[in-house]
Amino acid sequence: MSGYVIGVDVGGTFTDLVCVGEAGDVLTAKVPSTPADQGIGVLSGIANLADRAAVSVEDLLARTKMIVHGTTVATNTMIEWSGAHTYLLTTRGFRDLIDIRRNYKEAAFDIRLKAPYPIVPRRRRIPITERITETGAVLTPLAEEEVRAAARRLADEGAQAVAICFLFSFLAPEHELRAREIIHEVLPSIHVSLSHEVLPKIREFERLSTTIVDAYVTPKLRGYLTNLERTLAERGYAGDFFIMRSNGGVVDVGRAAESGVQLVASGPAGGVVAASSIGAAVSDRNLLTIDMGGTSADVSLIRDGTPSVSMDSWFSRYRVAVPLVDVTSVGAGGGSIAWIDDGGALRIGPASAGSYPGPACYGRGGTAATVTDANLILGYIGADSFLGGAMALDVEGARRALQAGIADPLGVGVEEAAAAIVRIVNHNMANALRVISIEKGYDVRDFSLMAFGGGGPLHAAALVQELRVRRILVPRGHASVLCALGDVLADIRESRSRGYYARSETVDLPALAQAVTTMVDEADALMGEQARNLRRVVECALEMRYKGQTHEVAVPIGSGLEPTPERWAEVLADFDRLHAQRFSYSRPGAEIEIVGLQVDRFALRAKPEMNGLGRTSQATATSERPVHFPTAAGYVPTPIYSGVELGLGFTARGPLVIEEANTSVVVMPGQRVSLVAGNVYIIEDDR
Amino acid sequence: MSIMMPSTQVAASPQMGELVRILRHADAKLRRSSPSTALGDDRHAVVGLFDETGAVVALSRRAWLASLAATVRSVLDAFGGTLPVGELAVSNDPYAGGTHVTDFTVVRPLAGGTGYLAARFHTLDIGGEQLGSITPRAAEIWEEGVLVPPLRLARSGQADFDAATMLDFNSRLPDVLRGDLKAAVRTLDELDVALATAGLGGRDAHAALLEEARARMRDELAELQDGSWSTTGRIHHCCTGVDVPFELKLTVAAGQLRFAFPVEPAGVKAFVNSSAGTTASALLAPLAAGLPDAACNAVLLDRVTIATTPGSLFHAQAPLPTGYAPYITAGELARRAAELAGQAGLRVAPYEHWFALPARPFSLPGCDDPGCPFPKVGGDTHKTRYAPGARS
Amino acid sequence: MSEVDPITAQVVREYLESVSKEMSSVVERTAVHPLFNECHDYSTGVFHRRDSVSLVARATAIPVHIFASLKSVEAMLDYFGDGLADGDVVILNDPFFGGTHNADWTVMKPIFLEGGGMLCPAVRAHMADSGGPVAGNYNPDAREVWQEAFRIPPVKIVEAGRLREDVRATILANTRIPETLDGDLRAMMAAVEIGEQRIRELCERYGDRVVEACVDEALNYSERRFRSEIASWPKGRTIGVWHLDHDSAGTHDIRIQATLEVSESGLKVDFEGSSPQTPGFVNSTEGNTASWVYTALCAALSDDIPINSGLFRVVDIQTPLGSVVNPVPPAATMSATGRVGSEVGLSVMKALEQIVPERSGNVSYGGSLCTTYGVDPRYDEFFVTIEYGSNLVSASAAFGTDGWGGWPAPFSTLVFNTIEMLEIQFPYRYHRYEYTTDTAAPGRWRGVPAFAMEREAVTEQYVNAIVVGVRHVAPGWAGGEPGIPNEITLATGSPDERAVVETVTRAPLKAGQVMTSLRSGGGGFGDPLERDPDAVRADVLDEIYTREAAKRAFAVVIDPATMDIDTEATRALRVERRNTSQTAIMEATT
Repeated sequence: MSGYVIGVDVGGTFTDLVCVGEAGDVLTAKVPSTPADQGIGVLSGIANLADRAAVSVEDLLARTKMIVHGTTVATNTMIEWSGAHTYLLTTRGFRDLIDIRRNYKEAAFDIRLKAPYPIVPRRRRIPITERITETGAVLTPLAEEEVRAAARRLADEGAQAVAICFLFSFLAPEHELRAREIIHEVLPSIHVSLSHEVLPKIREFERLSTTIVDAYVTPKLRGYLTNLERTLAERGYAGDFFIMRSNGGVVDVGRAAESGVQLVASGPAGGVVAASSIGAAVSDRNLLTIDMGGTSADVSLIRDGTPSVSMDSWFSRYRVAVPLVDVTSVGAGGGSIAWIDDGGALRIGPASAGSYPGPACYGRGGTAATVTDANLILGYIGADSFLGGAMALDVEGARRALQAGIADPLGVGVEEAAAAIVRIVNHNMANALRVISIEKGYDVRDFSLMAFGGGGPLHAAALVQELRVRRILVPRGHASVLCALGDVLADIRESRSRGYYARSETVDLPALAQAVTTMVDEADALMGEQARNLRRVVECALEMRYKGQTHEVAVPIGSGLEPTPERWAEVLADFDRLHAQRFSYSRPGAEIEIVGLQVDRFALRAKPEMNGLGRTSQATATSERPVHFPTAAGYVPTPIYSGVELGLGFTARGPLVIEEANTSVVVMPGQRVSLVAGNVYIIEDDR
Repeated sequence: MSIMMPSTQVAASPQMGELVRILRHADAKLRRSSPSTALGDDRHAVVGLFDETGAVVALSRRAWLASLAATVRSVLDAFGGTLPVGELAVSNDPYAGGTHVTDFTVVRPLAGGTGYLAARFHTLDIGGEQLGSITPRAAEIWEEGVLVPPLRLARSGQADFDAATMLDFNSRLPDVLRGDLKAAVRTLDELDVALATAGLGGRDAHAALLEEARARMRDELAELQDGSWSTTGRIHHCCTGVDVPFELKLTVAAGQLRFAFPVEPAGVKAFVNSSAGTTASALLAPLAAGLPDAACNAVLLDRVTIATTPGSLFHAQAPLPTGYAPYITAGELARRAAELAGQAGLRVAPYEHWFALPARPFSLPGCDDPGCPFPKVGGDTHKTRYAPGARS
Repeated sequence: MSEVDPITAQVVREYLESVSKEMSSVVERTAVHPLFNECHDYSTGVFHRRDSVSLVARATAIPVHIFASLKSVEAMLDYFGDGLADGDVVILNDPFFGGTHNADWTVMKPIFLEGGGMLCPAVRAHMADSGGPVAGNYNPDAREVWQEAFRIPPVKIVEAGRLREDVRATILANTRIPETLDGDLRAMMAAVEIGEQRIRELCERYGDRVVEACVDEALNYSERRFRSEIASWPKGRTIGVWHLDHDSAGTHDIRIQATLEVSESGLKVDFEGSSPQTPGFVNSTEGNTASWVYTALCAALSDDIPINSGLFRVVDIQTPLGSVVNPVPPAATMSATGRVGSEVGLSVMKALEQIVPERSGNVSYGGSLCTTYGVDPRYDEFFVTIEYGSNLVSASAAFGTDGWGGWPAPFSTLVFNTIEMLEIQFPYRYHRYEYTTDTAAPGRWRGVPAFAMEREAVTEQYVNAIVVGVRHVAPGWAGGEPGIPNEITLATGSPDERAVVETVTRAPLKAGQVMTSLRSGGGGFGDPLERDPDAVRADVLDEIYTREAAKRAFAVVIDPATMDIDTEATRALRVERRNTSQTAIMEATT
């Protein structure tokens, strides 16, 4: 086997594929997604790759040792509400915590806001007599006959999935385990999600909501993955089949099919993983990323090469508290519609022209002015070079839309209106980048900004002025299939976490050290076969806080804990330091509580070396056109380059625009762009 | 049988006589000009001179010697050991030398920077549950009134008006409190001038006076025999149902006196917990009352150590209320100390009036207990309502 | 003020809103007490002063602080006059210096611009204990402000960049939890530092003069948006009245009367006719009253109008001095953010109900208040906190939606603690924490069901509790039915059982004894007879209503065997019900 690795990422509109051979040769494909059955899109993508490699699908699959797949089946289930007929067993007396949502409502003042979609309406929430206390002691034993009656009811009513969430189950899981056993006596094949397995952590609302989502999406996800695995096997594939999870790690398809909630927001994870490895290739380990697509722009933060992971996310108005790559969505995308509100302010989105009819300049009947129309008028996009010339843009259509929608109401010219739209879009993105960095205690000036997606590289250069980031990175070539690239690059990762309560002064160090090692062994066992001959790394951390606080900090302790007082003193000092960095103060000497343990087991996959670029002597601009720059306060004749012709060592001073297949890289006056190893454009101030 | 020399016959030095006269003149000025002292409980008012290390050189009255010294000490410590010239600070903190929240002490350096002056007054009100900031209902100090740890009220001669106004806002009688503070500041300003003109403001004058005090103290305690004596007492307060026994022991060794409490009760949720300042002042009172002015300063304090456990009934800490300790608890401690001092051959002089219950400012309704010292006001006996159990 | 282009004005306005968000994230990260960082009982904002003080931008947070923070900044500037300089940080909590009640502390850091203008980041938060006679400061026996908490008039806690340790020590000497308060105070000061840094970056970029011009334009923008929303409202005068049961001091049926006048020039809300200030601790300062007026108005508008002084310019609020909505010192005010404040919100909404009924609904979270304190033997530490379980729901129905969740949207920024975290932090064990059956207020859209809580005291502890919403239960809207009376019962099922009648303080709960409460949801909206029968059936299946209640309240008949709607019987019953109610009305009016 010549050892191909294929990354397949199914998105909202397109399914992207990247195929990397051992010799570093790279093939990419982009085919329309097939939401009804995403597998069809995957197969047609593989067929597309096979054509490019001039081999049959069976030959290609035979020579492929690993397929890594990022799917949005779980995500779409939570958007279309097409999941399992789900029931909940919970501690008697606490039947409505999922409705109360700790008082959270997504409106500032609107008392007419509607309730979220009820995955488990009240009638399907079955109270069970049992109670565990805050020390993990059993106060009231499990009423097994109530569980048995519930199981019979599930059978009668055709239940497809069950979530079980008892109070303090993360300290004493026996009631949840026993309840599952009883249910499986009546319904052996029904999917049961136990809260202490999905999220073994304190705060019952977060655990309850995450477990309900897991029960709701897992059956459908498992069906999809099993069918796809069988179809690939039928077409002769015998290699490893991995799935990208929302925390940016990949796991074997069997593991992935056990817990759907881990894939709910896995879409952007691939892109961020790719961004961190591309950044590392150009020795930029502190990155802010901006992925601007058609309907929205997603921003995330990468620190020391590790994408920041958040446990505070909501998805479709449900709390999903498993570690997700922390991506914040900002309103504006290329298709976002610009309009003037009744106070005279210029608003961008949230409504979007989508891909059909799309922006006015697509000439498919769209009349609303969008961000893409503004970029066209300002010259950042070429009318006849858009998508490599595949779509000619109607400049007059864009002018008419901007004139009627924005210029006239504001009493300004069309160019001024277009510049205003881009300025507001850039400003919103700058604010979002600043907020997500301050939330984690960082300053944007220590970071570089990586821009990808259709619109990212168009707007990134202007953000330097607002944010004073170090420099801008634009991954070239694969920018449009970055998520698929991320799938290929991601490591195998198995994360385990559990509640563990102790105090710094009275902790039993040997027991704590043993608990950590046990979790590492558990993670190993789950790793499965594929990872056995790969280099393994483990990162353990203790979740700690000062006594009485509610925010925990994960303190890394490397591959385990030596139970010695000296080492323990070091760990406490690390906590003080990290707390000061994260919360701007520390209290050395104050009593510290340990509340949980985290273990991340990685099997490091060899990063395929993608072919180096051909060197370039000195490419020349293929054309020139007037382009508008705020710093130049107007239009400036600007050289236009064609990305395809450029190679390693290319460098030029702004202003200029490099047109790539799916995007354009805009460089402002006073900036310099250069194409470096790792296939990345770097934009810096030209001092 | 008192074996001590009738020291009063040996006349104080002219400087000490002049210093005490000036201090007593300032004290009288304070009592006249401070509204609270004129209207209310004036026995806690006092004016004092301190050398640059914060040691007491002399006071206008000797009742609260230990407490005033401890308050000045805490004020200096709060500002890094010294108060620069032109600065002025105030504190009512019972847990930092004070007695109860109504007793405010103003401290300022001598104009020449060679020492400090302090004036204390019992202000009429500083917030809390009841007008007068003393209530038998109090189970915590914050029910009595507002705590003011050392707080700067002026810098380089300029008033920190926001700090001063913060105090006003926390009194039901802001004009009275502001009047008391102004009276204290004016009294100390005039005292500063008087001391300077009398040549008593300089370091060497203070050193000489303290030396005189040491000599006088040596005479007083010359024939003191070593030994130790102990006695028992009870802190009893009818209205809050407090009735707690204790044991007090006095040890004399090589001219040094040491008070300790072999039986030291824990603090109670009632307003009779005695602060360290109150306890020290009470135990020293029988002795101090008889000493000549010259010896009634830091020299006496250096001769005596008092061992208490923080948080006990005799070393109150937050949140223990202290409102009535300067009367009830101090009185009992002083009586037991007098008993032991007598046995040790120390001369004891009358002190009881220092701790007698105040007739004014706001008499508290008595209770049904036959021995209750408080007058019955409008039939509202407060025992039932204030019993600590109800207030826990 | 020079003319500034609208795009720059918009960019500056959104930048200042982002600054408020950044200040919120700093506060949340660094605060210590769960009331602060778990429940988010705080708010941040940026203020401006040229000739008068205006709120420019705020992060979404507790609306009760909206107007009060503005009053606090005004108080600071009046108080210090020109005695303020860059590098000063001022703190205050006094209700009569623009505050709401003593528990709300405000920290402000003025930044002086060329030409005499000023921008000022401010953070305001509820502190768990500010001294005073009662732990947690809710003292129902209080008759004057000194019996509530330590009063902080405007004081410079930092002067020219130097922390005044003695002022901080005095503040921390007057709290029962100094270490926690020190952490929370540090969090608020760190937040205004970030606020200052971002504002200076903005002024460096655009220049002070342009930034101030943009601030004016930001206010004009909100004014235009607000005026265009109310342009369609019918002109004229409507009166809304609501009552508060009691003030815990013997005064009952405290009347709040809001006369709303819609005219070409804008809105006027006049509280003439409201009760005089009472001896109890429910007196609502001007800042608190105004905040509640805006909470009601904003709930009736679209959600995305930036709240700033551009809005406040359109509304003229008249509060008679010495009335319960504008008390003179030394009135007690601690409970006013909930009680009287809620009734101000309801009276304004009751006036709005008469002109824009589909916009009306409950905006208040008022109702019972319960604080618990004692010593937790597990940590051998004093604890004091508010028990939200006794006041967990109040959302009413609104046009097009049943009541759901806990409180109405304006107060959803306050996050309830979780059972598991509560049982670790405090010596409680919860037996019940859920909705109840047959308690949701009927209407075309029904209110949220009443909420039942049962909390066992694991060790001896003390409860201060106030129960209101018994004489005057949660009102219905546009023809909807009202809620049910609220209840709190101590030591339920034990010989010491006692229902809390209006107020109880320092009530002991022995170890093992249980406190129970039932908190009514908000009222229904619209005529119950117009509720979609399928919605009633869904409620019956969800055990929100029993079949009997469905028949009684909504005239919907459900077959017990099949649980299907008997459409014929339902139609007939509804016709019959309408006729009887018609005749009842006829008799009443003739």
